[in-house]
Amino acid sequence: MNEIKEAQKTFDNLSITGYRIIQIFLLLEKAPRSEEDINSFFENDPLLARPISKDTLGIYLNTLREIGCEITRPTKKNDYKYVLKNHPFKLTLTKDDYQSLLEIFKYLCSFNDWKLIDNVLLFIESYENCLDLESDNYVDFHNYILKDILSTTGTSVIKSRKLQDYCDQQQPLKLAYKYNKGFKNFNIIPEYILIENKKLYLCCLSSEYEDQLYLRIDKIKNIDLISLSDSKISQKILKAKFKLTGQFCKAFCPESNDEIILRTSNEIIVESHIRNKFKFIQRILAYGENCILIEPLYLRDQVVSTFKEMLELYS
Amino acid sequence: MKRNLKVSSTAYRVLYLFNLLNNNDCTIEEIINSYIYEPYISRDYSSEVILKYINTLRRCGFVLYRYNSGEEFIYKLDRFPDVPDISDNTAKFIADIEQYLSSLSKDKLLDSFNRFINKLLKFYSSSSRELIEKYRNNTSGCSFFDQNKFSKYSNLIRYFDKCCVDELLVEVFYQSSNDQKESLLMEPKSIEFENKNIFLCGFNLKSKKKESILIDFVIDIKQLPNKARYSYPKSKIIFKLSGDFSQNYTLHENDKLLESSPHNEFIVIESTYYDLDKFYRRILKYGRHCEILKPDSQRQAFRDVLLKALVNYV
Repeated sequence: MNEIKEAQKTFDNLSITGYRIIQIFLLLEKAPRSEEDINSFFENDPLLARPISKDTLGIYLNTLREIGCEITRPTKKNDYKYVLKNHPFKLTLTKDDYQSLLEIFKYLCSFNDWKLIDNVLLFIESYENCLDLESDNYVDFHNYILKDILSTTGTSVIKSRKLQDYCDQQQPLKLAYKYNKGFKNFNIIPEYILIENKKLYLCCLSSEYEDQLYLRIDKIKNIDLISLSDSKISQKILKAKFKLTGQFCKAFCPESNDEIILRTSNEIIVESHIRNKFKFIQRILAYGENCILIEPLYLRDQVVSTFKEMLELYS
Repeated sequence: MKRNLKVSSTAYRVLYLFNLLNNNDCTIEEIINSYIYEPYISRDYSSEVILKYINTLRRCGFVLYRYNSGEEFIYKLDRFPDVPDISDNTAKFIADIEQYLSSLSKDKLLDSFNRFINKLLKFYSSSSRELIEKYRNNTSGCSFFDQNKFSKYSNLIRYFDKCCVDELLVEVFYQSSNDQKESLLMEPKSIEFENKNIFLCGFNLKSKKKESILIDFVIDIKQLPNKARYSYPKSKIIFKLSGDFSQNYTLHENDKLLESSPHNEFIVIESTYYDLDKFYRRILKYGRHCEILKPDSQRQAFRDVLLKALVNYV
């Protein structure tokens, strides 16, 4: 008697039609369903315990379509199932929401830290299923993240995640790298991933080169694991000293391999441990008139001749 | 709603309620009133009917609760049924961003982010929410940003930010060496972030150039009564890039590609810049592979930079 009363109470507080329509929506939201799938769920539901007719199902599907759901008709192509393509119950983000997210991600991307940027991408992936991916706001946002903040593709991101694991394990690798019009093989030990000029680079050591290598990840075509005995690599680290003047006295941030050995009101002397001569010379050139490379002398000569070559362009 | 389609009006009402609560928290009265504006289901409904529909959503697994606001109860759709758990990494990342924004005194951005997370929470399981809360309460701080390093500057950052908005001139006092204090008059423009460092940027009234000061060197900022009136002069510069650099070049925000050879052996770019020093730093590193083509005044100015750089080595 009590059970009947309880059941009656439940039915009084519930709209069975409402219950059915929401359950159909939730079923379709998870996966495409056939009429049999839906009825099998209803038959096993303790509250309903019976199937619905084809006509009733048709009315419910029409109702879902009326509220804004996009549901395809069952055909051979979709295995005779109803597929919910889109619906209005997704997370709604305004243009302002996207704008704020972009601003935050822009700050984070200015760190040029691949692991952090990957966290941004993983975070976006974690809520993508709640969003309308076809909305203009989302498309603009997605394009901005992948193209304007990080000029890359989804494939490069997946490859970089794999390479990051190899960096963490210091796993020696053989890489087929797109070089000129062909390919070149590099045996390397991966160190870390770097972002420069919106592109992803793998920084690594190679037995064939004394400098640290920077390989563009989108140009790596093949990755093979090799054994440690094949790849014993030692690296030459060069010490350099340079002096900064002018505006850099109030805006110089030392890099991880820099040590400030003198700082006065109008100059800073820095000692740096160089792992890639090309990158280091680029850095010295970029400081322009506000920098003098003190040592080593052969790099100093190289800087001078580069400035001379540049000057010739303007003579 | 079109009348020619055979639909269930009860089912429509429940879906309509679901949509309504998904977008906003509502009182029963607001729900009843909103039905009036839907032509097909427009009529007066009793509170009991609405409560029955709310109960139906609950029975389907939605978490709905009501909270008291003054004299009324407001209904909130708190969680969808069967939502997946988020990863530990994502939960930590959310808490990290919140800590990062609060340590930078970016109050508006923090508010926007919190609003976004509150919307998102509907799609997070209760264990995911607990995980986020755990990381929020974690005292070890943000994993990618040294909060302690910047917390001591939060007042300076906030003050400089306010001066940027109010467009008032400032005198910035900074430490120029271990024992010396200097100052410069600046029209504050922005706070910029680069490689985990914070720079206060503005128009230097003496040099008439954009100036950036690393926050670590700033001792104090004094607001002056004068209104700012300068703006950065913008320069349009056309330059040519060749070699590997042209093959690997990615256009910057203010770049326009004017010309490129068939295999990108060279490219010609038009760039708009207000911070000339920054622009020079960018092209200096390309060495002989980069040449400013136009305007002549910029060719001359860049030539002077190169001459001064060479004089350093004589």
